[in-house]
Amino acid sequence: MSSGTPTVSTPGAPPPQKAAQRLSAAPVRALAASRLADPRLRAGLFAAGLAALLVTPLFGLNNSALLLFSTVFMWIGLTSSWNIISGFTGYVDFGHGVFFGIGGYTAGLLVTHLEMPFWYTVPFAPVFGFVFALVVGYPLLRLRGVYFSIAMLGAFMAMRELALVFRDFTGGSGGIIFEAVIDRTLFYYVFLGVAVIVVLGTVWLRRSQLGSSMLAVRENEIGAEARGINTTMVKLTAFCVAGSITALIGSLWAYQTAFIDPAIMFRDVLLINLALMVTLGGLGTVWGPALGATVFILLRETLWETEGEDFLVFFGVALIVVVLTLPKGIAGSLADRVHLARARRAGKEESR
Amino acid sequence: MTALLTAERVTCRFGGLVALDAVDFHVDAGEIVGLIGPNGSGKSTLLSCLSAGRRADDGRIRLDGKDITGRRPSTVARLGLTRTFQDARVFGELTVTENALLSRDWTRLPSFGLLRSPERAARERAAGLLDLVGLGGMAREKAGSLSGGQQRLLELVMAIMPGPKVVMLDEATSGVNPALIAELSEHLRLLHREENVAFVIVEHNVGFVFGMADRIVVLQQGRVLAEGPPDEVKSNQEVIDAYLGA
Repeated sequence: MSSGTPTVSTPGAPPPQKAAQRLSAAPVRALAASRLADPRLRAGLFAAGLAALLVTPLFGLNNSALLLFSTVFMWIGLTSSWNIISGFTGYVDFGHGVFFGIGGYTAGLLVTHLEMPFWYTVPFAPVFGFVFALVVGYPLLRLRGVYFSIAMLGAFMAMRELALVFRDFTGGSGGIIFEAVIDRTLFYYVFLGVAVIVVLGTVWLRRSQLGSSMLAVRENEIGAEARGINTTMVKLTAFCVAGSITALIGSLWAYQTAFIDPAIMFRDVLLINLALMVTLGGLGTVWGPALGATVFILLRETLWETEGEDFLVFFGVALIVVVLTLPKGIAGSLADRVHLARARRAGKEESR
Repeated sequence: MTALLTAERVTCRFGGLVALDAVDFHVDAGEIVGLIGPNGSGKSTLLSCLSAGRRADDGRIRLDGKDITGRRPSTVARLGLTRTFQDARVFGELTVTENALLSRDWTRLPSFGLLRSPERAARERAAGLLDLVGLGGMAREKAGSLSGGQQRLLELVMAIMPGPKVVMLDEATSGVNPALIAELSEHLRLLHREENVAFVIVEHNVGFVFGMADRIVVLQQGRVLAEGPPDEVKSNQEVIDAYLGA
């Protein structure tokens, strides 16, 4: 969006009336949005929210409430990691569930074949996710746009078939049963920890050189390469990081569920949910995936109770409305508003 | 004196069409070379081959004695040969400062405390260059909100940031308000002096390029038609017939 030539003539001079503008009667909404732009306020809100979530289980939540919370946290971790490859670098991965399955099966196979205690297997899941991402990503990340998406879907389906076919090794459709640990509070904190680390990691990433490079790859790969960015390395890094986080979450979820089989570890609905949640929250934004996951799960739970299976109809309609009215998702549209408010405050109305 | 950048017998074909036919080209340190020629004469193709955006079918390219033929574009950029594009390729979702800082090396681990000075140096350099081209006041704006002319200036800063030896400008003045072209050449002269960088300028604006360049190279149908100081080239009858007109 170019603002035309007239502004070019005085490019260096920042408008001096900044302080005066701040006192002027701005619309309340714009003012509230501009407050959100203050990093200290955002850090404060985050710390307060986190503290509240840390003490919540102490007030005796029942098991289903704890499970709901840990499900939200798990999805925040999944969506935020998917966003790194699909949102930041723009390589939309429609087979990302493959890493979830790899994580679950890494844990399951190590427990059954090597009789490892589950918690010892946890570090292996991200490592296997990383290696798989490296091996698959190196050839596939040369594909652009929809071809990459479809190829990843193929990788997802292929791995599910492998888990089914090698039944002596994987248990086939009979799956693998873990020793059950029914400790909802434990998983509440485990998934909360994962979600916090992934979200804070995303915040850091967006400000880092690596994050800028990912966004540059998304916008114009040839241009990014000309700026000295090794785009292959950037894409592979994004893919491997996203894959290993998802594999870690997959292994933790497998343990929480105490049972895995190909149908639940490699489920199609996970792919759809990832895309829905992140689109709802804002693809390629920092907070969008977390926001989308939270809104999606809470809405689903509410609608499930009132509407039963029909909730999907409401959901589909709601999503269409969101995409039409907020094409950048909740967080993306909010960020635009914050930016607009900041520009207004700097006295930019005339140049628009 | 050996040239900083040399291309020997660079050939590039598009199917049956020979876009570059064994072109020899060189740039000396600190020199400003104007590259002109009619549409389709191979100017942009030569630029792409030199910056490794397109692989030459034949020939050798050397930068500062190092063979860079067939290297990745990002490697060539890091070795000190950067470029701008006909359609200024700035990254609209990033801020002006983030754009300028893109050429930093992210593979270096983040450093803390006292070791942080390279990071600070890069930021200061970016701020200085943005001030120089008059974009200092817009450092925090998204690059997508800049005008076409401002985006060209930003891309120029991005190309200069890593401290290259040669910068190649593809149609530096296209889309720039005529009133600002004088300003642009002023910025280029200033950068040329301060950074001691050589420029290759591909241009259709004959007045601009003859005013800037130490040496002009004229391409026609993938071959070098003429080469020399601006005055000499301007009076070359072949060049007048093929490109400049009467």
